[in-house]
Amino acid sequence: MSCPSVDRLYDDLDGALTGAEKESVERHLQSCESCRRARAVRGRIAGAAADLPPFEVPPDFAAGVMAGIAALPVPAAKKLHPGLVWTAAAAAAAGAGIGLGMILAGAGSAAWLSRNRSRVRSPAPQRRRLLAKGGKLPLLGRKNHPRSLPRSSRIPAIDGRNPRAGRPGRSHRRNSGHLDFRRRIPAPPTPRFGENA
Amino acid sequence: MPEDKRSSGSDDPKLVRRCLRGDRKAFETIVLKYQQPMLNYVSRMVREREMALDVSQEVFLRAYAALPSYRSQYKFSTWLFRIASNYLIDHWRKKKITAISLDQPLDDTEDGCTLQVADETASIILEMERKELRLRLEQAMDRLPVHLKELFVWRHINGMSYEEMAEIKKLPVGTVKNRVFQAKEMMRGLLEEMP
Repeated sequence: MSCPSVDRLYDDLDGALTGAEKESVERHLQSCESCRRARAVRGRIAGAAADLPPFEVPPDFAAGVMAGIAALPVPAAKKLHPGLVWTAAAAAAAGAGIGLGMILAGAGSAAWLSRNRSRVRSPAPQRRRLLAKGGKLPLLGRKNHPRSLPRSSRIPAIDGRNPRAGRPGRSHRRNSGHLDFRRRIPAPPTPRFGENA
Repeated sequence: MPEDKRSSGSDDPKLVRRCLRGDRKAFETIVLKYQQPMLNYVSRMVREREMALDVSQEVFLRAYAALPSYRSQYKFSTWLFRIASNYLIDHWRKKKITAISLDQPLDDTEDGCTLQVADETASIILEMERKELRLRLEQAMDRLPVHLKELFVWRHINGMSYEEMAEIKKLPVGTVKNRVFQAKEMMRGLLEEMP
C-alpha cells in the first residue's frame, strides 16, 4: 500500500476513519517508519493544543457582565412605532390602488381591442415575413415615403406598366419611386433608310 | 476532540425565552455556562488578559441586546461565537491590527495572557518540558494568520466540530476542514523551525 496522505493521518488522529480505513492505515504504519513518525509528530501537537490550560476566569466575571446588563433595557421583540405603522398602512393602500388601477386599465384595453379588432391594422404580408425572419423593418419616415418625393423624380409609366411597382420581395427603397437604373427602358425604334418617319 | 469539553445546549432556547420575559437571572446562567469557552477563545485571539476580559464582557452584552434576533432552531453557542468572531473582526479593523506576519520575530517573553496551570505532582523535568511545549505552542499560534488561528483555537481548544465552525463562519464544511488542515500544518512547520 502507498503512503496515506497527511490529511488521512489527521483523520486517523481525529478518529474520523471508518473501521476498514483505520485498519488499512494502521497496517501501513506498522511497516512505514516515515509515516509513523509523521503521525506521531502531528498527534503530539494536537494533544499539546488540547491540553493547553484553560483561561482562569475571575470569580466576579459573570457579576461584572450582569452589572453591565442592569443598565440595559430588557430585550424584547421590537414593536413598530405607531407612526411607522400608519405610514406602512398608507403605502400598502397606495400600492393596492395602483395595482387595481393597472388591472382595470388592462381589462379595458383588452375589451376595446376585442371590439375593434377589425379596425386594428395588421402588418402587411411582406413586413410580416420580414418580422418572422427576425429582420428589422425599414424606416417609413417622411424622407423615404414615395409620396414625399418630388414629382420630377418619379418614373413615368412606360408601356402601361407602373415602374414603381417593384417585384415582390425587393427592398422598400426599390419600390419607393427612386430611379432604378437596372430596369431597362426600351429604346425607341430607329427609323430605317427610306422609311418615313 | 472529546465532546465532553462542550456543554449541552439543549436548554439554551428556554433560557433565552426567560431572558426575553425579563428574567435577568436566566442570562446569568448563560454567562456562567459560556464564560469559560468564550474566554478560552478570546484570550487566544487577543493575547492580553485584561483585553480578553473586556472583549468577552462586551460580547455577552451584545448578545443580551441581540437576544430577540436569536432563532431557537440554531445552536446558541454557534450564535454566541459568531457574535464574538464578528466583534473581534471589528475590533481589529478599528485598531488596525492585522494578521501577524510570519516574518515577525518571536516574542520570547511570557507576558500577556497568563494561563494558570494546576500544580502537578509529576517530576519537575516533565513539568518543564510540558511548560516549554505549551509556550512554544502559544508562540506558534500567535504567528498563524488570524483566520487560521481562530479555526485552530475552535477546533483544538474549544473542541468544536467542523460543522459548528462552518455554521459560525458561514462557510462550507470542506473549506473549514481545509483551513484547519492548513493551520495544523503551518503550526507543525513553525514548531519545527523553532530552536
